[in-house]
Amino acid sequence: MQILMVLIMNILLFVIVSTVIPGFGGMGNIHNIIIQVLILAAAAASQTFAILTGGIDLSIPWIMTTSGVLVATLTKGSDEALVWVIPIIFAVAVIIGLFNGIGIGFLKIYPIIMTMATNVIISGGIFVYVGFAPPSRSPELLVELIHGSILGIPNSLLILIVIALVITVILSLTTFGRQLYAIGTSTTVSKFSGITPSYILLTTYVFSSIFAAIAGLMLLGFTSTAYTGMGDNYLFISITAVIVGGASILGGSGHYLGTIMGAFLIIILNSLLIAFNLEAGYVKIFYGLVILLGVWFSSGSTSWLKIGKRRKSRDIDPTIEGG
Amino acid sequence: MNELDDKTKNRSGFFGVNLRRIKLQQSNIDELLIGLLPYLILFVLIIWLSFILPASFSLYQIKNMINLTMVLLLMAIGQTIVVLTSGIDLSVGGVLSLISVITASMMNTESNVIIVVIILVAFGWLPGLVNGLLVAYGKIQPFIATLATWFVWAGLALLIMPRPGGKIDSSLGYISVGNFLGISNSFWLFFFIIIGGAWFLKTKLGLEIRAIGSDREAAYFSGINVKRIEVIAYSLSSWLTVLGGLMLGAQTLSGDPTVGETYILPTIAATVIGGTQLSGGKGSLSGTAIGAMILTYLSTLVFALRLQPQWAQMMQGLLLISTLSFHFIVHKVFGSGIEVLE
Repeated sequence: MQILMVLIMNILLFVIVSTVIPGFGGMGNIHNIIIQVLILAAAAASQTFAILTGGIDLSIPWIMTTSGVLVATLTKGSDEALVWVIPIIFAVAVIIGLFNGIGIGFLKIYPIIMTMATNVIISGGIFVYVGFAPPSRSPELLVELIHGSILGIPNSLLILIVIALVITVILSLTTFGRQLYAIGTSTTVSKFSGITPSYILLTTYVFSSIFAAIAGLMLLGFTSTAYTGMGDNYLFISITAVIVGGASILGGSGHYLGTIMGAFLIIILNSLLIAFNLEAGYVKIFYGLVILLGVWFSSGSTSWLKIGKRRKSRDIDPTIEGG
Repeated sequence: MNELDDKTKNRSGFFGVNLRRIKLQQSNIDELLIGLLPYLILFVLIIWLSFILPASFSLYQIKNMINLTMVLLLMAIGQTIVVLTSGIDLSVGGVLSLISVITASMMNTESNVIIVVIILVAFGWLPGLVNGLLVAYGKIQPFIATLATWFVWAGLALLIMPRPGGKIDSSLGYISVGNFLGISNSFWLFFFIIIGGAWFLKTKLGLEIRAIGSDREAAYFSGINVKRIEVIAYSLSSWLTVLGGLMLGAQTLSGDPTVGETYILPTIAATVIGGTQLSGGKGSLSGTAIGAMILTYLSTLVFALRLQPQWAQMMQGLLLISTLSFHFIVHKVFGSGIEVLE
């Protein structure tokens, strides 16, 4: 239901924005918007994985930065080097994901604390490894891949469709996907039905990390320069996109299509805020309010129906139930 | 309620552990280990640092250390109070940034300093009130509610002052470098916090806060006004953060709209390293003070070893995760097993 609502809001907003801002509906601008949606959708994909299990991934910004900065540093802008650099990037992402997953799945550390610490650790590691002014030029191939188009269809749109298909298949058609929703709904019940939450959580955070790395690669292609801190904005908007898309922050419900709709909404609103020349402060306040409203409507509204029954899991995060 | 009283009263002595309890029940060895860990880490760090910098034992250096740790200490005490109710307060970062720019843009003369300090101390609990209302009455998960308000306060800070700068009248510096009865103000404040912290958790409010954290429903049925206590806990956290912001202003005499974001993880780290459990109910404020000292010593150690400053944040993150892993393993090995399951 919420997906439809967000879709209608998207269309309305798009119509309003294109009448307010001349040239917004032009092909060039739409192409640009699709690229931004793609990057956010990939970052939000990793957030979706974490949030569906009832967790959260705050290490996304620096996984994105790590992959962007490492590609620029290791390739020094040459296309040929991508052949061996891309596997390294994914290996690094998998290691970070395993680190998160072991902490959350096996050592039962709260996801918010674990991923926040991971974020700080890898940011420190990247600063130490590359210094403050690393080589920043992106390989041309990545830039073309993101900005180019095949037969008039933007590559970014094709990639977005592929990612949407892959994630929808993972979440809805595989056993892993069903188990992921089961953990998000109730860790205890899922354990009694024979699922091992620890391994599912481990896989979840590895997937989350991989998609964040992909988002980082695409961000590098989009901006064509790498810099430390390039992913910082995505910490908050990835969460906002997932919540606006109708997923419950408590886990167990939500769809990736909703997340993509949420990403669209955020990018359109963002360009509106930029068009009105609002300062960065207003944008931050705006995201804060959007997230409050989103949470209020998606998870708060259902609890009003159960009068007199107080929600039990008042912990920071429900995944802790696993023993 | 009687049982609760016994449980909570005996729980944290001055050092966060109580030997009398250990004799009664053998399974409490896990809490003894968790309570002793921060003192052990601090001891190791102090010894290590004194090898590298022999001067670090001097009174001047210790005073310096206490000064450096003050901002983090005040904020971490607030964070601990919230964590004891089994919540978390991420908005402390935004509040600190906001206070930093307010002080930097308004405290340009001595009389202004006094007025602004009075206003901030009087109304410093307001941001926390918002958090508390959202969590207790809006029924929003603590981490998402405070994440949202973090951004609202950080955005406000950016609106007031888009980039670092401003100048604070040096009279504010008195609260950091001044003396009272020949002993520096930060010393006084530090001891006041340690003793006040030990006392606070034994008061009715402190007991109620811990009762909410260990079992919300039991607390509710024992007649505790759970929502009101929760609001008070969040308000206290933001009030202490405002005090920390004044301390920060006194030390730097300028403002920075993004300064708070670097403090969020350290406040949680100090809380956890100090032995407080994130599931709520168990912990001590003196432990948190030790945790804050550990983080400061860690940064100083990195500085003394001539490593890049980013090593410090890596170390802090790793120490946080290893402490949490240590807690988990200790509970698994020595605990009754129920603690981990709850």
